[in-house]
Amino acid sequence: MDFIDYYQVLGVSRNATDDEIKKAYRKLARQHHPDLNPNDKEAHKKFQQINEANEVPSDPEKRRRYDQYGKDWQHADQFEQARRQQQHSPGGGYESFSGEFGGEDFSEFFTSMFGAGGSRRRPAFKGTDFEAELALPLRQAAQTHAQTLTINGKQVRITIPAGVADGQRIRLKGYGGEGAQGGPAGDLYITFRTEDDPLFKRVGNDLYLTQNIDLFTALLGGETVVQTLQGPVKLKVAPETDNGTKVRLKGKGFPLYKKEGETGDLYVTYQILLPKNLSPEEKSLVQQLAALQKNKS
Amino acid sequence: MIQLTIVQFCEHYGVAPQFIEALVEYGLVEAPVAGQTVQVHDHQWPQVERWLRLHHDLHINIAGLEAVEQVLQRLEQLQQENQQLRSRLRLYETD
Repeated sequence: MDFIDYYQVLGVSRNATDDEIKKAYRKLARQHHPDLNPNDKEAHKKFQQINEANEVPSDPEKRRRYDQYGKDWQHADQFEQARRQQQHSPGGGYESFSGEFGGEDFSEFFTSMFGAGGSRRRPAFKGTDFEAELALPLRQAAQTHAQTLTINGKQVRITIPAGVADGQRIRLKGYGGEGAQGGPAGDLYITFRTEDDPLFKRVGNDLYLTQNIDLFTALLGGETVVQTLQGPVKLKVAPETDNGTKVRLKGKGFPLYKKEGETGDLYVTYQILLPKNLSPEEKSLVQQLAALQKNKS
Repeated sequence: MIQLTIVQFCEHYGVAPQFIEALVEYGLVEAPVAGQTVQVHDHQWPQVERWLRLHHDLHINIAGLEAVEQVLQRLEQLQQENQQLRSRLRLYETD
């Protein structure tokens, strides 16, 4: 357990006045308040640290104790006992610092020095909402499937419907932080991130695919087999197909979220591959073709 | 929908009745105050609690909360736009 320099956390000197401490706390609290930083996982942690830091210098008795024992805080209880015995003053132990918050809101260092909680009064509130991200391979996101997640030590089984969008959020009620003052637990928000696929790119419910075809198929027409999420599909290539030609395969895209049987489209872009390492005979034939083309124009 | 008396509501959250009335007046919560009761839809509780936390923790008054609401809405909109643009940009990225 490490010593925490609360003055440093608040960015004030050890001699700071009450007003300076209040000002520093308010500025940092505004900056890191979880409700003002909805997608910032660090904000909640930082906000707790600032609140804990504020508990000490803003309370004269805690500040005195903290300043007096500093890094020797681990022996503070013995020092205090000795002091009280010398002064023959009964009672008044620091158990009275057990406050309204649960101890889990404070660091081990804080609870060791001051007891289970802070002294600041706060009404009953729902716990903080947690944010989490779940990465899904594109092909997994295309199918309704179950996943078991471990959240704060609890196993939660969720069903992820096919077609979940990149950046989509779902709420798991009651899986967030514990409530304060008997308030209900917060919620857990899961944001899905769909990962790139080596073959398909997804935009909304449509998929995009680049299909290589050889020069001769592009010139003379023919067939090519393209991969779709539903399996391979044979496509007819029209004669004299240009490089970059786009073909739409209706209903071969991504399934629509919570709309069973409905899917987006697949756009196939042809990329024409030129033959390499031509033999002298092949080169001569291409030259003949080029000459014929020149005569035509 | 949960119907609470204003007294119950304010005791539960430790706020003055005027604060709830002001939230409704500024349109930050769609909770009709009928006589001595306040009616809050289930889906609105997280929002009410968010305003109360901001008011309590940061001493933000109602006008400030209204400004925060607008900025947060704009932030969410920009985040969504950013997400869509990233998704489109990936189309042009070479693997």
